[in-house]
Amino acid sequence: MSMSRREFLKTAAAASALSALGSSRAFAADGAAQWTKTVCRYCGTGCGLYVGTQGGKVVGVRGDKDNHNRGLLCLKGFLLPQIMSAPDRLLHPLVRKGDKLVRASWDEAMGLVADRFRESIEKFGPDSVAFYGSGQALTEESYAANKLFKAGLRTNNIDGNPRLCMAGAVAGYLTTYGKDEPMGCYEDVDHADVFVLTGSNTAEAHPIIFQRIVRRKESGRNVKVVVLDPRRTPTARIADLHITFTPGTDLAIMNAMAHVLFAEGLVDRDFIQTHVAFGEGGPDGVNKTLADYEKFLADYTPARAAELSGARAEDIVTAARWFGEKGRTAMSMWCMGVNQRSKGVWANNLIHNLHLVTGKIGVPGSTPFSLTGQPNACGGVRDGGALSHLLPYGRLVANEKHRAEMEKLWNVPAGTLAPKPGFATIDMFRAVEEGRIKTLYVMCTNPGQSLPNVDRYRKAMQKQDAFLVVSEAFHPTRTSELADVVLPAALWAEKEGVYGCAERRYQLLEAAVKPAGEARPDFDILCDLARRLGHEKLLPFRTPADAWDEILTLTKGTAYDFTGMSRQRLKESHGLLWPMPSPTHPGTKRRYVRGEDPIVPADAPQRIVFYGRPDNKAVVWLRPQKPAEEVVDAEYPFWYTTGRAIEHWHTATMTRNCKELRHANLESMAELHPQDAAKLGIRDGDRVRLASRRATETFRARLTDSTRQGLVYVHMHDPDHMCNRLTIDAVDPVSRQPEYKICAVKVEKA
Amino acid sequence: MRARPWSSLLVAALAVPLAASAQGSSRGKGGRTAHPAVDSAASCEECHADATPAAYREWKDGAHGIALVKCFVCHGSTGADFKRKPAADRCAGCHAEQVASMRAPAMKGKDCFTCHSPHPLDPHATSPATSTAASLGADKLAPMR
Repeated sequence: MSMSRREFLKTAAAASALSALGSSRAFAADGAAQWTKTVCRYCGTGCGLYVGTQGGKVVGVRGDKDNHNRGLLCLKGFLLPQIMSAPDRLLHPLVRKGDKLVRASWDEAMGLVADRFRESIEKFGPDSVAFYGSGQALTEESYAANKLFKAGLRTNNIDGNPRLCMAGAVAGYLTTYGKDEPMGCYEDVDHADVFVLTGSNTAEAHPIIFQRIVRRKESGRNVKVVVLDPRRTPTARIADLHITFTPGTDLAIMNAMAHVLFAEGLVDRDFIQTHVAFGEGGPDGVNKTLADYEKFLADYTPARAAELSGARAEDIVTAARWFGEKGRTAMSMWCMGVNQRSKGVWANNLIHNLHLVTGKIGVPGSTPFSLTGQPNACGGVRDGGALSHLLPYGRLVANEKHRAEMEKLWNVPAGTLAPKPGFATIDMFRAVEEGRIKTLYVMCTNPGQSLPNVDRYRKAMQKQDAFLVVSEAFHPTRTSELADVVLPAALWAEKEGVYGCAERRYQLLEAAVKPAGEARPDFDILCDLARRLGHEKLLPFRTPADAWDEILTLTKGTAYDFTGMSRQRLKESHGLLWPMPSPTHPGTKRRYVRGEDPIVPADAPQRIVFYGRPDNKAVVWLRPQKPAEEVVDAEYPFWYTTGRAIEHWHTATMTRNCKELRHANLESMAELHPQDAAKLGIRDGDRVRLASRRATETFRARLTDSTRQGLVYVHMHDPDHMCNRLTIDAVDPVSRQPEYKICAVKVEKA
Repeated sequence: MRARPWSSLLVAALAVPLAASAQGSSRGKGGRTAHPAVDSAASCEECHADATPAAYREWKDGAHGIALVKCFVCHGSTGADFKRKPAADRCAGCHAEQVASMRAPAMKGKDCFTCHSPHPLDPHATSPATSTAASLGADKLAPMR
């Protein structure tokens, strides 16, 4: 939906005020003549906004007051226009000649890419090529790549950076409820009496959701906020209780909270009897009983959890009492502090346990809600199945029936889809290292900076026998500098497609301006590659809207069913929540709830049906405390963790192009507790060398008592001081998500 | 929460020009005031907590401070576009409706800051004495152990 300035004003301004506007200079200061509805480019909150254009240039943004963000934008969103005309926008293809990347035509670059793919497949088989995508790509782009690689090139070696950010949440939902994605929505924030924020610096990573929590705390009665985080982040400013603990020990804390809920009669035994099963171990282990669970919890007294975690027992008791108080609602939110862990799936399970034993789920204000870091990790990659073990919309590569369904839907011969899952992210880059993957296509992401233990994988990408294609809007990045071919990708307001954010809300981003220079949308580039590789019949699309029409047909009859979400409806709306199985269905705020979720029969005897599980019961898992993969010792005595600053996003390829943000927190510092620093003779601003078992990196020191003693914290975005040289590439055995959040380092003055 | 001896030099550098700008002596055209060079590792509040403590505290305890709507959102960068008094277009990104309403004849001669004092930016219904932070019970936690 594009609108003129006058139309925009009609929408945005109060009628009484507008009547006085006439042809006045409203908004003339920013010079926008046309306003186009879109979605923010940054985090997984998915804030609606209008992009203002004049003379083919983006000149301003306005929050969409009719969207969930109520017109508000965070500071990064407000500064979005500057990324479009950044000096390091890549305006033409580049190919490597010797040591240099030199300008090339599209035909030369794409011809080279296609030749190399063809050659790899002919010589080494389809699994010698791979695609590494992004939760920032549009749904139609991820879909095109997924279909081309799985049904065309016949490899499942397609994964993406959502593996690094929310795979733990996915596996948590799947193991507990049998279906992925949150059951609640942002509106639950407005009804919650208690918030438990675990491993989430919401104030900086999801500022607009944080503002909604702030509004709820201001307007609600005795609303409580509990923050569980080793660091005292800006999120803790509004906390009534901040529980700091030794990294990796929150499993003990959550089990102890469950212990208190049972000990103090705060559980809902009727709900448990009707809706809950109990399990231990893997998927075949759902054979435990409530008695087994209570016996398991007996060991997790608050005192023992305090001993294991360094938290205070009385704080654990308080958190549990607030969470469990009868007649009050409770909402959990969590993010990378839980997911980016080698026991991340277990930690997710334990959060769900608290909701299931108290029955605080599926009513307004009571829900477990995972926060997502990227704008389309959910919609494009997770739901669309653009991961190595998935097929679109809840289907699995390893499931014969699912493969047959997709072969029929894609109109390809039976047996086309390979039955073996491809490489998950870390395994994929290890396969590059081992020479098993010869040609890798990276789209819209920056693994040369963002992978854990990044030196190892930078070396792999630079190998002589590895051919690296990078499609990027900016150059150089820490990945494009390693590439053999760099393709200039259109950016955000230059292209059209769908984003799906953390609450199952799908939204259309409309193109507002033409791509800069010779840049092209990734959708076009992938269709071009398909043509060159002889798979034009798989991607016959003229526009992303054509692909969307096909996508709708894939969701019919699945738990995602959004066949009612036509392009036109997306254009007219300010976000639609699936399931939405018909053109007249309003969308679903709360899944599994009778009367709200269209998949639950209207005459179901129970209010909630966890239909993802065979017995319609969600699983409470018995998950013991287990430490991180790497723990501190005499040689590496400090815990090391990383995270986000509000001013910058991911690897800062976009935010460093905003003049306001270049002057704010651009350089990552090593944050140390003053007492630790004093013992090491380190003063504020000194250069310090941090060493892990993998690499050494130098930072300036920042002394702050918001960091727990024994812990070093570094922002993740700085391309010149890369925190991921030190992080560990150990992964969760179920989700394959790396343990970015915890490893061990030593610190010395440089 | 942060010890900041390394930034003390910057604070000292900031104090003079900002004090001067308050008297208008270093103000350029359009309300612009030169901002001293900054350390790229710093954020606004690290220096302004000491350099302009009253404004900092009002901002920090107000709605913008809680929500981390930092100085540069309103004032621009520390480069040539820095403005001591923000223009309404800096507000319009989030408050388009309210900015548009300022065009009404009854609002002639007024701007956003006529009613919303610059750094606390109190909502209409709120007493200026009650900061957002106070209404939230913010910063009441015991020191971290």
